[in-house]
Parts: sequence; structure tokens; C-alpha cells
Amino acid sequence: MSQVQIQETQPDFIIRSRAALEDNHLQEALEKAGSGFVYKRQAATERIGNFEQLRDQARRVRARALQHLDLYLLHFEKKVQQAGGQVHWAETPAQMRELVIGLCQEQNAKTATKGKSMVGEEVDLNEALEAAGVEPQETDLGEYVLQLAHERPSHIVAPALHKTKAQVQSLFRDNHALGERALDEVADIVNEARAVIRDRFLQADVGITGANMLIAETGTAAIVTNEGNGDLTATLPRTHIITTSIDKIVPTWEDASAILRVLGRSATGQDITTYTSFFTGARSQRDKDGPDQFHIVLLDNRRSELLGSEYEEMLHCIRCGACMNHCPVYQAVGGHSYNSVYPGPMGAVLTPLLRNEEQDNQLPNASTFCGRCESVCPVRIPLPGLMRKLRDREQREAKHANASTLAVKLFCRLSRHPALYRKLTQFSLKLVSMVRGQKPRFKKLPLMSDWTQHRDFPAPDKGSFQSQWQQRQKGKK
Amino acid sequence: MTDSRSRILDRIARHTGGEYDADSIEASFQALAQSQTVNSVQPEMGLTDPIATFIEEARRNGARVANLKSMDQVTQWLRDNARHTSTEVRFHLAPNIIDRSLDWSGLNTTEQTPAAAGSWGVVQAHTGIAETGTVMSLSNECPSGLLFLVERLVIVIARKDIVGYQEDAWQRLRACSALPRTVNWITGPSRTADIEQQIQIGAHGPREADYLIIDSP
Amino acid sequence: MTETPPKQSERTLQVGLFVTCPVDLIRPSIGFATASLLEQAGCDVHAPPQSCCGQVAFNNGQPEETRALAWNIVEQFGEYDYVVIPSGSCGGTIKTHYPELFNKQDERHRAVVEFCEKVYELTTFLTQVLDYSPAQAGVDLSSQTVTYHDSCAGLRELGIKQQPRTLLKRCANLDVTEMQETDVCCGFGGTFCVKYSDVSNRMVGNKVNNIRQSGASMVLGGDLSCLLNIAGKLQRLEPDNPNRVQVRHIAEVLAGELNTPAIGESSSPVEKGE
Ligand code: SF4
Repeated sequence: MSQVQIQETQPDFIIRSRAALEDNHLQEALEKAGSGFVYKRQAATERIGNFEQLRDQARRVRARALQHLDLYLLHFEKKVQQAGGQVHWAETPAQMRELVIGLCQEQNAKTATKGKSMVGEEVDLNEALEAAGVEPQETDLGEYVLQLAHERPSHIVAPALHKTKAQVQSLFRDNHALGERALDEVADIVNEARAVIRDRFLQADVGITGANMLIAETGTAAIVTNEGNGDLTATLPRTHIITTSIDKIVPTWEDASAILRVLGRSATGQDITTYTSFFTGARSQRDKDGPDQFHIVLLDNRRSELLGSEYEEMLHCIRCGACMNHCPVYQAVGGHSYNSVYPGPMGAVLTPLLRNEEQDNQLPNASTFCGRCESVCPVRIPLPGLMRKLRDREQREAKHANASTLAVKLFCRLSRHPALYRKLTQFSLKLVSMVRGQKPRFKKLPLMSDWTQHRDFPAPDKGSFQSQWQQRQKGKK
Repeated sequence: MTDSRSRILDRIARHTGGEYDADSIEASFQALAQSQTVNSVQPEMGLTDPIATFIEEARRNGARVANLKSMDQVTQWLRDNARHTSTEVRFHLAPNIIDRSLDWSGLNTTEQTPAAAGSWGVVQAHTGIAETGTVMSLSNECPSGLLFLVERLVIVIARKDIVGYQEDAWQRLRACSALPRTVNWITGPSRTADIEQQIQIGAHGPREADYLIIDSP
Repeated sequence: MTETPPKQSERTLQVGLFVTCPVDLIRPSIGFATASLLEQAGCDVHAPPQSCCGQVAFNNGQPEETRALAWNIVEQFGEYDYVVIPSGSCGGTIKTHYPELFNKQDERHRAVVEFCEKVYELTTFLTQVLDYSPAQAGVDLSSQTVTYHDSCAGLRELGIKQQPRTLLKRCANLDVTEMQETDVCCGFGGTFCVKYSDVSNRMVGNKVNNIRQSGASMVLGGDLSCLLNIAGKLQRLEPDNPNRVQVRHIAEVLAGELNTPAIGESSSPVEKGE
């Protein structure tokens, strides 16, 4: 596999989103995905009578887990050790890369099969593994396609959502020995990937997966999948490494159920995914199979700093993707516009908190606060509210106010004095009505070109409501 | 990286106010678990007859379900169903099936690693969960890999092992002497929707899943 | 005029009308329609000096400015039995967010919370407080195909969904023809529509497609901002089509005041935009 090259992206959401709107392949892919997720989730939640209560329960479980996070992590660690596994702690992405590479090198690993792990993506694990001489082999179909394309996921549940079938076909044509086969049907593509990847499962030295939950009670990692690749990655190699983060803890198995009951339904509209697997430590003498070595690497990467902060609720996130599936901005511009492994509403909150680069300030601003994300989030994270707090933070920390901030401030100062506001607005409306003549609306307006570039603006009435109302009241007396 | 560990835990403790040493972890965990036991909210789905719901949900999730009177009928069922296939079928048996000393005459059983075409796995589930039509298999009874490497997975489940909700399965699991390395939950055949969100049955795991419910084991 | 007696007491309800900035500045007819509706429903209507509810500041990282404006409103409107707003978005800012702007330590907290309890979006006030039902529908739109855009803040912060549909049936004999994705944002989003104008344009484009596909000749909504966005796009796409979809605020229909041209339209059927 060739060196992974990720194209440098523009550090500006506006530029990226503009390009995304003009990218026909992307738009075709987004349109095909369309509202599918929305309808499937809706059907799944309506099939049972008390989904809202299940959401409340899931939220309580997440809050409880964070309330005593250190105890749960310590208990988890102890149980993993008792089951013959090891827990490693990484404060930063660099530390996580180092730890994983170290573990691979201890095993003299040449190849590592990989299940989907968003934390792995967060720390750029693939590039690091390659540089260290360990060949990462993605096995999730979507991730495999992206590895061939040298691209990042654009969705946390459906990583290759931005790719059309035709694009996948041509990637396979370039990278596989297809001969006469055309791969016309989705089934052909899936079978081709299955055949190529099957051998890798059997030969890999190390298997690396993520985890959806860590159950403190028994030191168990739970993984939720549909393809079966996660289990083949976790079970067949001698060594199983899990890359995950400290916030994934739940106290007990019953608590895990509370999360599972909302996760599949919110993500893909399945009441449960095909496979839900629970891994506890390494293979023991009683086990018929399983890895001899089991390692869990826990990433912090600023999560612990969010505890007790006004952003703590973001740590409730169970990575179901419902927020982006329901986000009209995400639907329009796709995940890559966010330039982060975490796109959509959850990413607009998480990226500025975990990465906090200058460009990330755009993300919480790129929302209409329509609130559809919050209305479907299974753990009821107030995503628009958190984005608003990030906007406050940006303004607080801004070195100098930009033009739009000044305009907002000026408007507010004026608004504080209703009488003055009324006089001034009345005066401006007079001016407008002098220039507007009989036109019912404008196609161009000074200072409002961003509006009139795409739409007309109606000509206002001759006077404001307030001045007309005053007249009317006078008339009444 | 011990330092990272303590720095991370310190930062967390600043918020939780927790102070634990190696010896107090277990007791603190148990105390907390005791104080926080709450009744789980289970999905409202009119579940009165676990067997009926199990069958309904399993089918909805793409599994085929058949009812057999006794274990003895399993091999005959396999014979009948293998007859319809074009490739010769090799049967990969889980240890808990081999132990049942069934009549395998005329069936090609093997211990080799399952290779794509014609490989059927025959395993016995530990528990069935009606809530989602899910079967649970434990790696101390059946190698986990077998569940994923075969083309068609035939899962035998005793009627008495089918429970209503996930919590009931956890109770059965806690009753085991020790937790196995892997607990697998399987609900139907493997699938993917990674190409244009079209659901395609048969990804890396089995393309077909049959549940055989046995009345009297 | 109305069959609905004021519920509270013999005394006529004193209602403060907060029209919102866009209505004040761009389409006063919505304010007058709201006032006349409330009067038809038996209320005394007052419109004290007013400006912005603070939403723009609130959504743009200016909590201090918002608090100042919010307190202004509380003081200006404190004396009325109810405060009614023909907008789910400004209504949501006040009802949902004012209380969180004044935390419990703030001595004004109680006053703000109590104030917010008497603040209502128009259609909710008419259905839930007054259970308003005119003896006779003011206009009859039963022969028209009309669709309704559920504005986001109204829908998700204030739960406005059934209220406008109930009132349209009672006051205009109208059954709403639903469009696809009626609950999806039109792309206005305050400063969003100018900061991210291309994304906003895509969103309003989608909205307008759904409106057209519903076959409606008129689209109604409860928030002027969204309606400006939708009307502006419809007009830009079909400048010369005299039969393009007309856009109106629900208050105008409920009050039976359809003489004012629809948003951005001129009174004469043949008109020329610039
Ligand atoms: S924020 Fe909520 S909806 Fe979005 S991924 Fe996380 S849990 Fe799912």
C-alpha cells in the first residue's frame, strides 16, 4: 500500500463548503444518502412505545458514568488486568500513536488489520503505523474504500458516505486485479472487498479496533458492528489492541443495555446491529479462541478538562451520528467541509474543544441553530446551546472585533433605547421609501449583497409598525 | 507512561472529588453500584410471549427461523437444506454441537478453517434474547471466529434458553462461573450499507443465518 | 365579534404586543393583523415602545448585550397580563432563553422567570390560552392549496406544530397541504444567511423545491424572517411568473386581511421587480 497522502485542506469552512457545494460527485452521494437515515430512525423509534424514556435513561447512564469517572476507569483497569489484559493511558494523540506502535513492534508485527475506530482517526494512527513499518489494513468496507482513496471519513458511522458507487468501482479497478469483472452491482463490490480482505484477517499479526463502550463492572469492551470485520479483527490475530477514549465508560452491563437500546435505533434505525461483541481480556484456557495479548489504549486528549466545565455534556456523546444525519448544513456540504474526524453538529462542538485551532471557531458559527440535532440526540446533548457557548468563548477571546461583531454591538446599543431606535429606523425607512419608488422588492441592496446575491428582498412599507401604530392611536383618541 | 495515567486521573478527580487507592477500588465500586441500582427502562413492544417475539424480531432482522422437536432432528434438517445447494457443503461444528453425538452420516464435517464457498457453521447458542431476536454465544463454548468465517451460520437454540430482555441475558451470564473472553451477540446475517447507503446482506461475516429452535433439548 | 369570552375574569385581558424587529421595519401589516386578531378575540392590545429581543446578540457571542436588551423588554412589558409575539423565533428567545441568561444569583432572576410565563407566541396564545374560534371564518381558503413551513425555533423550542393548523381550519376553513420536510430549516438562521450565504442558499433552494412540489399556491409561516428568505428565493427563481407561490404570515390569513399584497409582491397582478 502506498504512502498515505492526505490532501492539505483550506483552513476555512466557508471556502471548503463552497467547494463542496460545487462538487458534483459529493452532491450526488449526499443526495443518495438523502433522508434515508432520517426515515429509518423514525420508523425504528416509532416501533416501540417509549423511546423518549429510553433516551432519558441513556442520558442518566452517561451522566452517572462521568460523575465517578475515575473510579470506573480504575475498576475497569483492574478487571482488565485480572482478565490477562493491559490498560495504557495516553494524554495526547502523539502518546497514543507511540503506545500503539510500541505494542506492534513488541510483537514484530508487519501487518495490522483494523476495525473502525474514530479515536484511531483522531490521532492519525494509520500514517504513524506506516511510518513505523507496520502496514495498516482497514477492513470495514467504508474505511477500506477510503484507504484506497487516501481520504478521511466524512461521517462517524458511514465513513465513505461522500463516495458514489461509480467512484468506488473505479477505485477497485485501479487497485484490484479485476480482469473482466465489472462490479456493476453493490453486491459485486462487497464480494470483491470480502475476498480481498478475508486473507488479511487470517494473516495479520495484530488486530486494532475501537470500542463503543467500556463496561467498568467487568473490564469489558463492547463493539457494535454490522459487517463482522470488527470481530474477525479482534479475534483472529495473536494480539488485539483497542484504541478508545476515557469517556466511553459505563458502570454496568445493564447500563450498556441502556446505551445499546438507543444507539442502533438512532444511528441506522436498527433496534440492534447485527453484531454486538463484548471482549474481556485475553484468551484464557477455557476459551476456544481469542488473542493471547489484549491491550486497551485510553486517550484523553483534553476530555478530562471538559469534566465539570460548561461543555461537560459533550462527553455524553455515544457517536451515533444522528445529529449529522438530521443536520441540513451537513446534508448540504458533507463531512469534509468540517475538516475534522468529527463533522456535523457534534463535531462543531467537539472539534473546537479537542483541537482548538483558529479555523475551528468557524464550526460552531456554521449553524442556523435549527435544533434538529438536539431533537434527535439520543442522550439529549444541547448541541446548539453548546455551540452558542463556543461563540461566546470566541468573542471573549477575540483579539479584535470584526465588522460583523461591531455591527451586532451597534445594533444592540441602539436597541437599548427604544425611542431613539424608533426615530432612527423611521428616518431610514423614509429614505428607503424615497429611493424605492414603486418597486415591490430589491434585487440588489448596498450592505446586503450576501443576501441579494441569491434572493430578492421585499421593499419595506412606508413607515415602521411603531410609527404607524402611534398614528393610529392618535386617530382613535 | 505511568505519569500520563496519574495526570489524567488527577484531572478527573478534580471534578469527581474521588480519592481511591488500589485496595479501596473494589469496595467503592460495589458500594456505588449498590446505591445506584435503578430499574431499567425496557422497550415497550408488547412482549408477552418471548418465543413469539424472538421469532418475529429475528425474522425482521434477516434470520430464518425453524422449529424442531428435538436435537436429533438437527442433522436431518441440515441434510434437507444442504440438498438445495449447488456447491458441496462442509460443516464446521462448534464443540458444544460435537458433544451432542448426533447422527452426522452423509454429512461432510471438518475442523479446518472455514473457507468461503460451501462452509456452514453449526453452533449452539447459550441464550436467545426476544427483545431483538438476538442469540448469544460464549467463547468458552464455541470459538468466536467460527461465527464469522462461515458462509452460512446455523444456530441451534433451546426453547428454554430464550429470555425476554437483555437484562435477563446478563443474569444468565452472571450465573456463569467466569466471564469468557468473548461474548458474541448475533442478530441475523452480516450486512453493510457503506456503498451509497444501500443495505447489502453478506459483508465479511455469514451471508445467511438460520436459527433452529429446539422444543426439548 | 368573538365567541370566546376572556377566561381569567370579567376584566378584559390586557395584552402587550411585541411585534419583533423585522415586522416593525419591513412588514408592519403583520403587526396590525396580529393586533386585530387579538382584538377580535376580546383583548385590549398595547404596543409600548420596543426594539430587539436580543436574539441577534444572543446567537453571536454577546451575552452582556442580550441581558441588557432582555431586561429592557421585561420592564417595558411587565405591566400586561400577557405578552404576545407573532414569531416563534423571538418568542423562543424570550421564553426559553431569558431565564438562563439571568442565573439564580441574579436578583432579577425571579422577575424574569415570572415574566416569561406570560409570554406567548401568537398561535399558541390563541389556541391554548384563549381557545379562539370565530363564529364565522373570516376568509374561506378551502378551495386553495396552501402549505405551511414550520419554523425551527417555534417547532422545537415552543412546540408549535398543531396550533397554526387548528387555527387555519377554524379561521379560514383550510386544511393545510403538507410539503416534504416541512420541519427542515429554510437556511435563514439570523447572521448565518449572510455569513454562510452559499450554504444558506442551498438550504432555501431545497425548501423552495419542497414548497413547489407540494403544488401549493401559497405558503404560510409564523416567522417573518424565514418568510423573507423563502419569498426572496421564490421571486429570484421565477421573476416573471405571475403565478409563483405567494408567501404570507399566518396572522394575516387568520385576521382575514388578504388585501395587503403578499410578501415582496405588488398589489397589481402584473408587476415588475427591479
Ligand atoms: S451528539 Fe448526540 S446525536 Fe450526535 S453523535 Fe453524539 S450522541 Fe449521536
